[in-house]
Amino acid sequence: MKSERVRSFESKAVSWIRNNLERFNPLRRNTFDAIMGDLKAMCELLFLCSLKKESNPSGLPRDYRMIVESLYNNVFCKPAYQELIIRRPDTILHMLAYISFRACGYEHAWYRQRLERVLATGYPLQIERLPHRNMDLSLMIEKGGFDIPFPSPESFFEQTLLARHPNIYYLNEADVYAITHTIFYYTDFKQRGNMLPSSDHHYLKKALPSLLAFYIRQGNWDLVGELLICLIILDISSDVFISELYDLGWNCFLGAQDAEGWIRGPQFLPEEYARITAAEDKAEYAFAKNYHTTIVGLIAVAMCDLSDLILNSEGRRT
Amino acid sequence: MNPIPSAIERAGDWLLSECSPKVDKAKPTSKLYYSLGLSITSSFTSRVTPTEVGQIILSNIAVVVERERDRLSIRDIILALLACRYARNSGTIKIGPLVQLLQAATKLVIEKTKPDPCDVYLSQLLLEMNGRVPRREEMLGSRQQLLSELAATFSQRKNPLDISKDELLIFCKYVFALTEFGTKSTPTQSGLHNTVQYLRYLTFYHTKNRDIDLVCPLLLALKYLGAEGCWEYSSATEYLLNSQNQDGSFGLYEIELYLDSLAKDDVRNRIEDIYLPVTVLASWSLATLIGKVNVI
Repeated sequence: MKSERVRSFESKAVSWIRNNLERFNPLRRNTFDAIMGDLKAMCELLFLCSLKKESNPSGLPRDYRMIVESLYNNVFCKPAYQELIIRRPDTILHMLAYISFRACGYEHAWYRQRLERVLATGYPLQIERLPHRNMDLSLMIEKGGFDIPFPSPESFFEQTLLARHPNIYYLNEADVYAITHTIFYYTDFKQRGNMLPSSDHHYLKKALPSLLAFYIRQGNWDLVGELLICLIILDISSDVFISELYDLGWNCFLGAQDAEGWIRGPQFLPEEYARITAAEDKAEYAFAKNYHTTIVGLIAVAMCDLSDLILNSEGRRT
Repeated sequence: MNPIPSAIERAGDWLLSECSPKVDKAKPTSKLYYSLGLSITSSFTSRVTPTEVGQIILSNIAVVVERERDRLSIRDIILALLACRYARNSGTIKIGPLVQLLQAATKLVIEKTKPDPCDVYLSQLLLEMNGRVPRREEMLGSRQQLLSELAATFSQRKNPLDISKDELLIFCKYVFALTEFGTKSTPTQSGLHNTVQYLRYLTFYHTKNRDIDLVCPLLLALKYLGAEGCWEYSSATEYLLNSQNQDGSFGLYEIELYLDSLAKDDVRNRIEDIYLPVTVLASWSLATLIGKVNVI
């Protein structure tokens, strides 16, 4: 799926992100809680950039590079931001931001030391989390090269919902997110080179297409995007019975892009959006409701590139 | 042990205990649903003899057709003809005069209401199945029309999953008509078989959303298209069985009815408007699935 349409989607979406880059800056907020609440958007964007770098042998494309550079200088290097990890060591978002910057070539020795000291207290590792969140943390410890004992991502797999092969008729949205995220972190977006156990793979070959069709029909583009990513990760997007649905999923997903560049998120209400008159309020609403789904779409594009890259390098090896 | 026969038996018992005492005062369409339900479930229950059932059905349908002749819809006609066809299965009921009456009523309804071609085709088909001499040439023409309409409306959709409930019901009706209730394979140009995969996804969607009124026709459509081996089919059947209530009726509506009762005066009749049609549809689907009774 590397059509002109996909490239056009990517270009419009990245351009929207660049036009709204200040909204990804948590320090624009004027209360501590609001700053913490806004961390997620920046971290997800940084993660996208790190994945984009992995998927591009020639390095981070210019637009992405400018995003990372801006967030590094205007957020990450600010003392106010660097203090957050001490104040709120419970969230793994600090790790995600650091690891993503590092993957994009931005190291910060002093912040790393601070991060290591916080990790050494043990507290961030001891908190109760969902199994897939622990997988994520484990992955980041591994990728960051932190010398602290923590179980491997795979060791959390048995505790996940996915490992229990739940009846898909009963899954709610949170359950489906738990499944997609388990696939993301278990495989590190295909970068770990590991495979899910065959019984889980078999389960997912049945479950994922049905769930994809379900959310296409429902118009939940966030989950459609995440499920498309899972099909790419598991290398089943070109299977006989799946490829047509995979293409339909992409077409519908791309069709949900607004002229401004964002993809409609599940919380976005067109009537509410239409009622907002002030341009700034309108832009803020569109950002808050749609940034995540737009990033999911760009991750899916990066995954297509990464998948091709892996396939080509494997082809060369053989 | 297959749980379906006993589920249908319980549905039949519910019709006899809950609906029979009220049927005289029921709306015409409810009388027809009741008749269809009894004609389907009678093979599974021993509470009444086939002759008794036959008489109940015949009298109910005859009353509706005679009294409501000018107000009947094509859907009513189809319900009545389906009931007659199932009633014939018992072999003890003479329905010739009633079918003749229905044939005249069908002609009138078609002239007056100009129903869609699929409904016309189904009514003609059911008349034929009830022993009336078919006008084959006419039907052949209608079949061609249905095929081209199906191709234009459904088979070439950009997103086959983007289909409203009403459109999906119409699609199922096309499947009933073009497969002649599962007895005929459909020509390749209809594109029907290409839609099976999407029909499976839609069955999953509506089973997950607990839309029992859509799951029933979707199950029948899958069966008639020969897709009963798929897992969506067995899961939907399981869901249908799980949605049977203690009294034998089908449908999980109690929470909604309770909430409606808090919010406003609910004008719906819980049996006639809600449980009766769904219980009959569910019984029809389940009975067809196990193949003990079929239209043919």
